Amino acid sequence: MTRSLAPALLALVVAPAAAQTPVRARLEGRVPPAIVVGVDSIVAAAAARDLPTEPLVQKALEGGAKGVAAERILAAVQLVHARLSAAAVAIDRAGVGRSTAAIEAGAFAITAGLSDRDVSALVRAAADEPTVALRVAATLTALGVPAAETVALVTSTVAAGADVTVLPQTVQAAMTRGATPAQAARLAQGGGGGRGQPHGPPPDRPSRPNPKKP
Amino acid sequence: MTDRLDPLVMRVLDGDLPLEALPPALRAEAVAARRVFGTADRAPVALSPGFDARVMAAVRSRGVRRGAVRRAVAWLGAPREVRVVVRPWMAGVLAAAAALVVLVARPEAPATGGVSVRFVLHAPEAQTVALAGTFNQWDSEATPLVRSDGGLWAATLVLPAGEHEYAFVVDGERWVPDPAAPGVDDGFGRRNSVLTLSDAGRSM
Repeated sequence: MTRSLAPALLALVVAPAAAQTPVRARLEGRVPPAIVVGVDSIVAAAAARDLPTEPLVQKALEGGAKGVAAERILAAVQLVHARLSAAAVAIDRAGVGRSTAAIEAGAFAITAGLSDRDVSALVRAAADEPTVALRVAATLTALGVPAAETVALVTSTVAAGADVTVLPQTVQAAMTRGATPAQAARLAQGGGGGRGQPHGPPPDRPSRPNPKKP
Repeated sequence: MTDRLDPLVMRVLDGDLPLEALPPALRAEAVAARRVFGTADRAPVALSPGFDARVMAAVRSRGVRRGAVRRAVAWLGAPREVRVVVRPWMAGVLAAAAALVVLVARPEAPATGGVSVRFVLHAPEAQTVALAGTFNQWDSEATPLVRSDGGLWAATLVLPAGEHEYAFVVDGERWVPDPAAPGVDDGFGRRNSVLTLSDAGRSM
């Protein structure tokens, strides 16, 4: 392997989304023309309710890029809108001030498999940093950890004052050693949550593919 | 086991990838490498008496000469042959070095407000591979990956904190989720990979 080390340090800086660009202009040529107005109206409805709008535009662009049929793109955008709305209500229900980042993280958690009640429980437990707790919980769920174990692990780690952001890597490491996602979560919880790697030998069960992974 | 480990196998040894994420052809190599490392971990390296003192004396006798920084920069930029030869007795040293790297080389955010993330896909048969996701408006041509040895494709991006969904686009038409990342339903009958970055510059 002959190469210079310097090019490896080269990084591409990704420009943030063009938030000021009108929605229709961003969609023109990227999605079927028939749904531009429909997506625009969903975005307007979300904005009127102080919901984040960028995930809606992104879902439409994603559908267009993947060559998905127009009506299916519109349905997916409506689903994202519903999840954003559910996340906002769940955060309000927890009695914590909502932010764009927290709502997006809540919707991400719902997409990953958590319920709006789980979102409320997580926000209530991590009132100081609800966005971080929701992001961690969403990532754990996306790894295949069942919702109940995810909520238990994140809330107990927050209660212990430990760092929740290491939990996904801790769980993933245990899964690499053969634990199921649920076992890995319990190991992480038993090992002190975010305070370190789970201890002891790997579980006896053979490795199984993660059902949430393709 | 070959004397040069595949980069994907090294990621498995580092705990960055589960064994199941490897292409079937590489799994045997990974299992063999794990066995070697495991064996060596149980055999502590014994140094001869006075080894530390001899090494430190040699270091002190050389001192620091002028131009060292310039030479170091030149060394960093110079093409070279990199060979990774795994010997059982090296495992302890490698483990200590790997631990040091993990402690020192965590992703950092404060300087640019973003986190440097390296995306890698093993696709030896592919002619082109690109990355599309929420960070580039799902533009399947905006972020091509660069091919290197062994059919490995890679690109490094600086991304803001938050949730990012993405997929690899192979040969301009095939959408492939990242086998090393968790995934979620994309709403279109496929899976998107997800990458979550904390405000502290950590990949979750």
